[in-house]
Amino acid sequence: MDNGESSYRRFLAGDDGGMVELIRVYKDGLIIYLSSYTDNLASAEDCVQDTFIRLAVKKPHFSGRSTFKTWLYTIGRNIAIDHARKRNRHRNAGQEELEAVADVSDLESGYLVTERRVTLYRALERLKKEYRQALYLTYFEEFSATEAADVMGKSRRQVENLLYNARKALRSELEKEGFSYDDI
Amino acid sequence: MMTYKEMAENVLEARDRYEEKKRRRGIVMRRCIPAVTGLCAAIAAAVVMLRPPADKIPHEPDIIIAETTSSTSYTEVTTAPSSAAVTSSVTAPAATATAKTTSSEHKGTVTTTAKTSVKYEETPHGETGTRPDGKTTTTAAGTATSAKTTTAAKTTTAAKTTTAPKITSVPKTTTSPAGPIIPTFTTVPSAGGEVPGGGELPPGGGGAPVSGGEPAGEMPDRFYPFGDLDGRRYCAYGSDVPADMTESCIGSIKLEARDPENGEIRYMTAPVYSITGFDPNQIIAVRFDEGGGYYLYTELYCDATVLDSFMAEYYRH
Repeated sequence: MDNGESSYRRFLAGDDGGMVELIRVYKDGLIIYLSSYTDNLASAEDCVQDTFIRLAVKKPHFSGRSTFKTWLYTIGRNIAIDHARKRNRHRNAGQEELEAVADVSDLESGYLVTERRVTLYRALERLKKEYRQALYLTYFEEFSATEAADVMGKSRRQVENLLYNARKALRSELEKEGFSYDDI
Repeated sequence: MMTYKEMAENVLEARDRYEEKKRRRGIVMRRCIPAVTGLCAAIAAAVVMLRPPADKIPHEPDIIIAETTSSTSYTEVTTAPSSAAVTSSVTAPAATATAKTTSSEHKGTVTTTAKTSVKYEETPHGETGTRPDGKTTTTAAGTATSAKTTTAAKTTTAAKTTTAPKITSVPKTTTSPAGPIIPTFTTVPSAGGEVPGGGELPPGGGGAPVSGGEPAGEMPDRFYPFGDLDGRRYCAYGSDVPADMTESCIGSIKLEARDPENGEIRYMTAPVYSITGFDPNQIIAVRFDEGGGYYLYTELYCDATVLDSFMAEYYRH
């Protein structure tokens, strides 16, 4: 698997199956990542759909300077930021929170799968957004610090600092609930 | 939470809608472009047809920068006491002055050395005009003998704005070559006149035009003749009275004045004429020399309105 670059090329060549493959592989992970920008999974899901619609409609050129996954997450992040900006103007928090409760359980059962990942994700939700984003990209999506920096729009050094502080915060959160950071 | 298949359907459906919209927009553009092009061509043609020919476009007027000069003119008139020699020099090209001299001797009880008449014709002092070449000219005017008149020529092209009295006086002078402008006239006013103190008296009094047209009444320390007529006291006002404003002779007035140089009191007698339209109890015209000018004398407590009326009448002449 080349992180979806070949699927995207197939889609550009006229094969809609390539887009379906991309959505299948990256949808859930992207939703979880973007939920840190939108504060709820429903909005994050909309952002993910908008991300793939942008790929399908605008057909942006992938230059290959980074991995396809990094490039895709960067597009998703930009869309999520735009979405959050618009949502701040038309806030309707009550309904979104109700939707979020149901969606989290779906994700936990579908994408996070293991109890350990679920525990870790719940602990992440209590951290600062930037800590959560950095830890999620590196732990769950297995990005390197450089790739996470590209996605988050930060320098590698900034991301490393974020990760250092995020791990300390995460250790504290896990210990509050009786878990050991080393076990996870 | 939608599945990946549902999301894929939504994505591809959105893609199809966009493609359809794009295709329709392309069709519209392909249809509109020729029409828009034709419309633009028609507008351009209309503009070209309605535009006036190039040779009929008015040009901007040429900018003409008028040359202005600022110059100072000095006019010096020196009159020799016993001859008709007058030197008139004009250093500034823009200034012109005409000086005429006549010399005559008066005979009478008072010894007279000479009389010099200096006339500036049609040169009211301070008059500013425009030469044919557009440059500003200033004509110095005055009746001073042995006087040095300095006139700064103004660089305005405006027409004459001031109306100074036309000076056709006949001062009787002896001149000093330089120094302050103090008249030292030696005058024989009329036959039979008597000047007990060796009288030498300026005809116009303090305001007489003896120093380049200085207005009357501004030199109280100079000769300031006064005298009595029919029990009233008159003093020199200064303005010369036009001849056609005077009427018949109504008597004579004995005048006296103090010489500012030596403090000597001087006397003279001169015929008095009434002024047309004015009460001789208020203002009179005194003539010091037959054929000479008339000088305005006012009663000591003359009403100011009478003087205003006279000056109005004066300027009408």
